[in-house]
Amino acid sequence: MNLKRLIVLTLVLCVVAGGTSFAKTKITFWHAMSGDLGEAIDYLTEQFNAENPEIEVESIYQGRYSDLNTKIVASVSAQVTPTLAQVYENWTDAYIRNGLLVPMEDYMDLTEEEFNDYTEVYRSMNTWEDKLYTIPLNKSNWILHYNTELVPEPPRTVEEFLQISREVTEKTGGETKGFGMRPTLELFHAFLYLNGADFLDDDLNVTFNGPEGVAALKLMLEMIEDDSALLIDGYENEAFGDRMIAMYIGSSAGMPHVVGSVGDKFEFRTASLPTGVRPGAPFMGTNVALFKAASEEERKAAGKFMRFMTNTENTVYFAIKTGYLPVTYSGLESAEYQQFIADNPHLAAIADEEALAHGYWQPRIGAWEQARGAIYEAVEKVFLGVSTVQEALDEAAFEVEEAIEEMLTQRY
Amino acid sequence: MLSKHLHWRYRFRKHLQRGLLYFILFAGAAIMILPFFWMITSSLKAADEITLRTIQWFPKIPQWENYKIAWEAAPFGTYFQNSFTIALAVTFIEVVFSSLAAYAFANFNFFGKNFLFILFLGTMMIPGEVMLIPNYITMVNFGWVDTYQALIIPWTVSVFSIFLLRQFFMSIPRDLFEAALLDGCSKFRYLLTVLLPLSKPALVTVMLFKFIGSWNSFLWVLILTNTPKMRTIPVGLTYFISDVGAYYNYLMAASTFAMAPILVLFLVLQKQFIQGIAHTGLKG
Repeated sequence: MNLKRLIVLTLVLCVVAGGTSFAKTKITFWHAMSGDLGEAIDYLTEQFNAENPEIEVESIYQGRYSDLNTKIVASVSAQVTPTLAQVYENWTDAYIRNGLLVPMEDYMDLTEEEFNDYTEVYRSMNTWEDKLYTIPLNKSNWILHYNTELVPEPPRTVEEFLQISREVTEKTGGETKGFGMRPTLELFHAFLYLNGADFLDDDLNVTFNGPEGVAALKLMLEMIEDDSALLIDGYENEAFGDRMIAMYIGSSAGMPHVVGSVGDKFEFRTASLPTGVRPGAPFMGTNVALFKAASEEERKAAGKFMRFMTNTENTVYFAIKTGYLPVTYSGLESAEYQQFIADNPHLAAIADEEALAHGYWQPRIGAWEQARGAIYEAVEKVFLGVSTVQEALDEAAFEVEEAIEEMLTQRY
Repeated sequence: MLSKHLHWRYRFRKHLQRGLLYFILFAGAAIMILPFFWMITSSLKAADEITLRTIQWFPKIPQWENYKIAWEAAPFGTYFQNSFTIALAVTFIEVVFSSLAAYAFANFNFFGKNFLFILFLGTMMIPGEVMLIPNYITMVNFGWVDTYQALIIPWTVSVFSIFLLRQFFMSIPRDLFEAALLDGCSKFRYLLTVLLPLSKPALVTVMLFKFIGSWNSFLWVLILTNTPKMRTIPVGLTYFISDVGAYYNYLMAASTFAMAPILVLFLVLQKQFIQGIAHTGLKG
């Protein structure tokens, strides 16, 4: 009798214990962060799991961004999407058009104060259908890097920028060129925006082949022709560290590489981009999306996880560890982050609050992946001398229009 | 007198020929070795040396700790184990399947043989990217995500190997096959004890290709696995490159240790390879 009772009790206990461990909500987070960045993600994930025993987040490195995208597309077709994934805005748009996501905001229980704490630029970048669909995680901006030996004060306007570039080349007898130019879509975008235009207008009409775009690309070309800029293939920080160029415009996310290639050969600083017709600060980086396939419980766990990842303490931790920007005002203004910037004067431009007011970004449309390719090709054609500026841009404009048309008329 | 003169001329010409030959061989060897040399010296450079645009052959101070940093950047110990397990398994199973299939295509007549062979060859025209997602879906349906079998089994049949072995088997005189059968040798035993030993060079080629292919395979492994403990070396190498920059010195250090086993394997098999050629040469 007693033994029987004991057995029953043990069995019941087993079931209960089994039941509770079963109740643990498991969610997966796919990302493309390796090295220090990956370590920061892993550290925060572990912290979260320790603080929330009822949830288990598994953060998984899935290769570089292109690999991650391939993997997500594959997982969609096999219906095994992750709970959360790091995504670019144009991926988000494509996923939303195909009904794959749910708005993260719905599962985060943000107070108005918390909502408004997310930096406005990032809120705009992450809003679809009036909802914060995705949450900014690792954001960076494009800034001017300059060698202080050759460029004591950074240029404030495009005219100054052109002048300094010419002067550096003259002063060094061409040993060091003023500016390092990699003919990319991003650099074209920077000059296009400073000229007062953008790739597309609000109604998705192509606008980059207008006079502003032509002028932007011609300006880039002229800098090569008059020797004030050096044409670069590969990463700019390498030519910069090798004193082949005195300035370049690039992502703040590349800072560890810049520090590495410069070493103690010279001192460098960063500044916001010079002002053209208007000021402009390009913002990039990825956000985190929540997939529809997740259950209600998983979605809630995911929302909790994203709250944790972007709270003041953790967004600052992530920013200091990786060189990305804190995604909230409270993070940017925190004593810890301000101290970090003060200790690292070469990072000054990263946290420039004024830049946040002039933020812009690449079009957030699903067709962008395809459109990008056409514009990239146009820029390259111009620099290879295969096409004139107007021809190349018109051709690209046609292809971009087609890609957008295709996106709007059919799901894909 | 005349003959002596001729003799000297002959020797001079021979020396010249030999000198020229060595020169070409050395030049060829230098070109082959240069990338490896560059990889190894680069792996020892500091971050601000590696990106210099002027050629610097040796690091100022060899940074041996680059190897330590690279090794610790990703779980390379596990990756090595997985790479070996998968490459060995794939290579072994593939050789079994390919030699059996090639044997059938080369030595036997059966209904639809040519059609089947053309169908096999036809699959070589389909680019791998097209098959990636369908194959992935199949694996998901099998429940094979994150398993060794997903990384091994889809790669154990290679049409290229079957084709290569079939061509080689067909070059071996059919008389040998008929004589063996007449002497009471079974068909399977003929394959095992006569055909395969004679085909060593082709087998080694097939194995080497497969092993290296499997060792380098990246996208499939990445897509089919979700945990570091199932991944392989090429996934580890991506840790050093990003959209905004690359740690070339660590990447070169990692590439050096990632390549070492392949190099050893090649050196070992190279001997076999030459033996194999000599062997068939005698019989031919």
